[in-house]
Amino acid sequence: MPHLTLSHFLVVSALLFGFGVLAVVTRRNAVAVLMGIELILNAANLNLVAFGRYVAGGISGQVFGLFVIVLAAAEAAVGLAIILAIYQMVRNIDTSQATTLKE
Amino acid sequence: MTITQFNIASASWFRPELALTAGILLLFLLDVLVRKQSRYRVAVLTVAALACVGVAAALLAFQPVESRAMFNGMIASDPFATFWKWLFLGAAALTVLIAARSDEFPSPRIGVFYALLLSVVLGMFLMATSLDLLMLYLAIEMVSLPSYAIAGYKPGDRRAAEASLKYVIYGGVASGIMLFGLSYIYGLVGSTNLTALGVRLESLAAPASAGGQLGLRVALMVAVIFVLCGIGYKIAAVPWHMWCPDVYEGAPTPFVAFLSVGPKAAGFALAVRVFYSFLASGGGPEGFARGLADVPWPAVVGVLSAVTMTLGNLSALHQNNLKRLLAYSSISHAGYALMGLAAASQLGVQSVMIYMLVYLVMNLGAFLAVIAIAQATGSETIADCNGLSRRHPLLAVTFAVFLFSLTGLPPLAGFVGKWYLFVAVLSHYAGDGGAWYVTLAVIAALNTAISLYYYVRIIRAMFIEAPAGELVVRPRVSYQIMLGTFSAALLLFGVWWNPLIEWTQASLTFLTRG
Amino acid sequence: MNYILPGPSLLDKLAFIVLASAVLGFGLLTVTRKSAVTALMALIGACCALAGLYATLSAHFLAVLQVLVYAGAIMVLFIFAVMIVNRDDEQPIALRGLFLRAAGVLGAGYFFYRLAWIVVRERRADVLATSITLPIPEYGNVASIGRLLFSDFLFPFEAISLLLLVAVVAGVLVARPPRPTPSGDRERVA
Repeated sequence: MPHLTLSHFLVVSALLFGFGVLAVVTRRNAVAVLMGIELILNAANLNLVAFGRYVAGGISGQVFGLFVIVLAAAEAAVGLAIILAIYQMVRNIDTSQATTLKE
Repeated sequence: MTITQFNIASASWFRPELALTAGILLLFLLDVLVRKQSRYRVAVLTVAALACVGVAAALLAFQPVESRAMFNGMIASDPFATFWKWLFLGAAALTVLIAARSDEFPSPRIGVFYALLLSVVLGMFLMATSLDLLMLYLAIEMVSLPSYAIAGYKPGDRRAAEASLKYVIYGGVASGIMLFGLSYIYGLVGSTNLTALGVRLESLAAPASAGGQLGLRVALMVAVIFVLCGIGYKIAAVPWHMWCPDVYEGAPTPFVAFLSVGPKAAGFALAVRVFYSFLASGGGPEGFARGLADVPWPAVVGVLSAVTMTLGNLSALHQNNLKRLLAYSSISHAGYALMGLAAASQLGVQSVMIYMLVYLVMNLGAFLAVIAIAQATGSETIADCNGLSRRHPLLAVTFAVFLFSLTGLPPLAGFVGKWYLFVAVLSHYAGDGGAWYVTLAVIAALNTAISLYYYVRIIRAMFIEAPAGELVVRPRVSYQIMLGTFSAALLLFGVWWNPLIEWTQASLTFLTRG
Repeated sequence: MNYILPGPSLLDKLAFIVLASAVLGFGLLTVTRKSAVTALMALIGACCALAGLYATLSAHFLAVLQVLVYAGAIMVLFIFAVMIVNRDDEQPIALRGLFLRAAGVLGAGYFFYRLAWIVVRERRADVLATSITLPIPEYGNVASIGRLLFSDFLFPFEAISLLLLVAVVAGVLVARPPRPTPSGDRERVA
């Protein structure tokens, strides 16, 4: 195996991003879709840290990653709160069943 | 040359935002302190929210108008940002006034609504001023998170809950993809600061490195498309518009009125600042056409614009719910405004600013009319407009004014807005790709004709159809005043548009990169 | 102390192989498992393995936070949500609609094709092929992160604190069920 290079990390993060997008498009359970979004955010974070290490030379990428973790927490809190609110109403969180709005 | 200010010294260019922050905290406190069942609750909270917006506006008026980067290059203060801040504050104040007399916010919940609304406004301020990839992402989230919650605001309403679920899922995906794109941009240039970014991208795009760096340019292309994804979601442009009709139908109407003008305008402000003033290699919007991975970005934006307006208008044709109809109409208006960005010139940017300003008034007016109709009839379909001209002539006439202005007919301000967009696009007639610009203008003209059809459907219902039953339509006094003022403004600026031109012209000064 | 020394050592490569395959394996499980609980457990595994990857990149503080905040706090939120609304997918891999299916496959295919192209073609390009060098001793530790956080990134730091407050209020506002009070008005929320 050659030396560890930036591209190794980029491939891992791109695959992770792909899994996240796949989860978003294929899962019908709203919580699972939110998990897909978490995978996307984690992939971006890995990019930030790896780029920070190899390219930028500073730690600004890591600080960016820190903020992303906090924002992910906020987003997950609001998203899950909405899912709970819907669940209290309809006892069902299948995104394809949320069709009252369609005409 | 960019003046960069450090943390403490920046505070004096930051007073409006500080006022908004204080207002948010104050409203959270007041919401708990003012008694729930008190008769004056709504009045106290509304006055507090308006006062906060007013103080922010006053501080904005006295803020020195020089371009500078603040907080170690995190956000900018320049005439361009100030223009958008005025627009956002105006939208916020009008939304507070509309919401105060709306039935959709029961008095126990209105305090939190005002606080969240102000935090969205603060987020939009940051969107229009951010100079750093991190700030850009943070600002978008700051606009999105409270919006998700307000969209699901009606307790026990299934439609509202579903709307907010769709909103949070589409929004989360769009911002996640955007973040992934931002991480690539960070990697390509090794800095999060837009000022450094533009300079570095220029060297990446330089012909000298054309051969070996091809892969980097492809990565840059992917990154820019991903970032466009996040911005397209905010302005509800076509591949990212799916959330729009559902959220507009399910969310409380006063907030929808705000959502259709505020975040959309903020998205345009962000797009202009990022793509025209920093990523455009070689200064100004014109550089956008040449730079960035050799992709003809104005053409990409032009295609987006054509698809957005066409799809929005065609989908609006068969809508019977007024809010859904206005949702599709707002998508098509995003398409029209994108024409200004596709023009990639100073004139194009100016035309977008004029259009968003006019669109603010006419779209808020149209939603206000829908609220007034829904208050009388209890639902919001086109059939509810039947015979409105005989029940309440003022409401019918002003609604017609808003709809004609949205179509872009003279002598209304909507015409001026659209006229400048066409001028911006057609000024490329003789230049590179002139035929494509003409095609874009023709598509926009055809779309205007299509949109006339569905707007006139409403007008026909109001003026020709017979009223069904003996329903009394009596809009609240404050609504009548606002309807009258909005239509008067549209008429006034439809014939005397010099102030709009002068103001936007003066606001075209960006903070440019070093 | 950097226990996982970033450098062209065998140990480093071994750590990368183990951690990267853990991240990707758990990530794939997250997508494909029918049961939401299993998927969530896989996601937690992926988060922890990612923390390991951060450590190989000398982002020690971020690695700790990844475990504490991501695998800890955020995932606990998810666990609560899954436990309350425990519903498994009938068809874990079922793209909705032909158009979405085609668009998803084509988009993902194109993305990976481009990516593979970049990696293969640009293997020798200086940026992508840079071998890692030993960082300065304080790279990625708490002190250096803190210094940056309270100087260059002070403004976003303050902004995000306000955003968190707003998000908490927004979450409470949405999640609390409405209860009618004696006067008939809805109970105040938040």
